[in-house]
Amino acid sequence: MHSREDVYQQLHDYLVDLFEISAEDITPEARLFEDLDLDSIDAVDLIVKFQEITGKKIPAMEFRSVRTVDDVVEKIHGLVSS
Amino acid sequence: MAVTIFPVMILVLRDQRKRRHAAQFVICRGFRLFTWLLDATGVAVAQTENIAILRQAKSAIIIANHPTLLDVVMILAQLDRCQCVVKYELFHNPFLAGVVRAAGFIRNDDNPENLLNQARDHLSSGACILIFPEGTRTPSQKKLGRLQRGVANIAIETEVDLIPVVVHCNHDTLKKGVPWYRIPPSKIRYQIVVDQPLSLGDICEPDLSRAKRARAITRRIKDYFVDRLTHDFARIRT
Repeated sequence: MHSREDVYQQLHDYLVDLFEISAEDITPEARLFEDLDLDSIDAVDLIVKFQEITGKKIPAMEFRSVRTVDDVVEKIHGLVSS
Repeated sequence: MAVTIFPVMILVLRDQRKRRHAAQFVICRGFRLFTWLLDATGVAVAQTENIAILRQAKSAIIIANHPTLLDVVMILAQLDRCQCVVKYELFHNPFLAGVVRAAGFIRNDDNPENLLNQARDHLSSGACILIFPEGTRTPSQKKLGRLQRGVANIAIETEVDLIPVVVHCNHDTLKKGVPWYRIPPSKIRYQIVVDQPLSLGDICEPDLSRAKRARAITRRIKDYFVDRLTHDFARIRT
């Protein structure tokens, strides 16, 4: 999982499989809380999932500013490629 | 009261548990006095059904719909003690911050682990927690607002029962989007109906992931309330 596309695909799969979000709603611009109906506990689950797969500690504080799908991809990609 | 009794209570009752119980008792009795005044002055009256279920309940989450400003007053007035999840703004309100802190109420904007831990502590000590799953008052012209999934998540963590309380109010006064000072043409009537506890076991299978169970339970709560709210308190279809 190195490229931005990989991260996006992984996030896409998590959103569909874990949170019952329909695939057509997921776009880079979709807002996590308003458009995709995630809540703060879901966000914690998502962070844990990415920690498992990347093997890196992801500080929850990093995600304070995250609003959209693309923001998440940006953060995760930034962390794994650093 | 907020600026006299509660600061004294915080100073005198050093034991947190005792202080919380005392604070909650004062809140409940204060609300009872307030509802008595509302009734006596002809402003509003509440009629209750099956309130004994709430009084006897231990370690349960009380879930209620939230049509008006006074719902919490009407419900707590019936009880001696209850935990609540409250809007975080109250913790910054100079009059109420001392009250909600003394009572140990849970704020709704804390990080999710904190909220779950606090809820678990309260429930395991036998307390009941009152939560409005809508998180705010019902939008005007709607029967029920969008539900937050916090109740479901606490219930999954703690496996406690949910006690539904169905609140009807015959006036639009005190509803969202209506100025509270608009005076209603007649006495406001509330009906507070307590239903039998819903137990989680029959709500959904435990094999699903946390996120999916939370969604399934929340849908079930929503369907339950929508169904219970199809008739208003005069048993007339709305």
